[in-house]
Amino acid sequence: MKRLVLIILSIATAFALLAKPPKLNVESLFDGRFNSNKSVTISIYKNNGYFYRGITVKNNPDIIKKIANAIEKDIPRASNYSDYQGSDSQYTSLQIINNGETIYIGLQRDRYGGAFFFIQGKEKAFK
Amino acid sequence: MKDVNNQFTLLEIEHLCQLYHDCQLTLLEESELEYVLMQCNYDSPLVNQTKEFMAISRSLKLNTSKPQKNAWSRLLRVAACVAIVSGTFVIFQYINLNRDNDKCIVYVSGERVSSDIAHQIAEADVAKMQQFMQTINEQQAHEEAKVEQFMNHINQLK
Repeated sequence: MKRLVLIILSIATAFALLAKPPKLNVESLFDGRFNSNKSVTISIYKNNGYFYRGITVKNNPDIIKKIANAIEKDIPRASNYSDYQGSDSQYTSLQIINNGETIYIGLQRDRYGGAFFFIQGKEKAFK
Repeated sequence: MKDVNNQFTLLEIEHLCQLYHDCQLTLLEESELEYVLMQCNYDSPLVNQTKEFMAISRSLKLNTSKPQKNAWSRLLRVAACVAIVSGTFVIFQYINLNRDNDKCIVYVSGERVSSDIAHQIAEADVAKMQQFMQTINEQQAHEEAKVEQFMNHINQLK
């Protein structure tokens, strides 16, 4: 009986580990916490094997800071990182390779307190 | 209690106790003696010693590995159930993620918008993202060109 229970336990744990997608810190921003926020637009879009998630923020420095902090935590996993101050906006860009596919992460902060943030990649990259 | 005292004399009880200590009684007889000792009110050093010994062996029996084994297997069963439930939940989430091949959810100012508008907004967002990527690529190309120009200039000075 004990052996059977151990076998079931091992199989269930193996399945759980195999099925668990690799969570990026920035993905936690789409857990629903901003869905009811008046100053954001959230888009979650899956099409033709691509998975896009975006947040547009208007006049809410706190949310922009939270996004920037989440990106900051994912920088160690990035294969490519750039931060560029343009004439009108600041552009932060990350590329993370997972499962042989690239995940693109971007944050554009404008000078008027607004921001546009996205995560995009093939669905396979998020598995 | 009276009955037991009438049935057995102190001498008989002590004899039985002695047999108990000499391990001459069967398990059933030991249990019967234990019952008799609980019921009778004889007081002698041998009877009291036997009672104490019986109490110790009873407590030892309670602490044998059987209950621990039960607790361990119960813990295993609980852990297995938790693992199965959480594993199933994660698998369902995983399947659900794969199944929704054409999903579009959009919230604007705290309100979820209808499917048609959601698609329009999402597509506009994707276009914005492509614009972002283009800006980044152009900037990187520009920076690389600047670095190359700088290196050429250095090489010329050498």
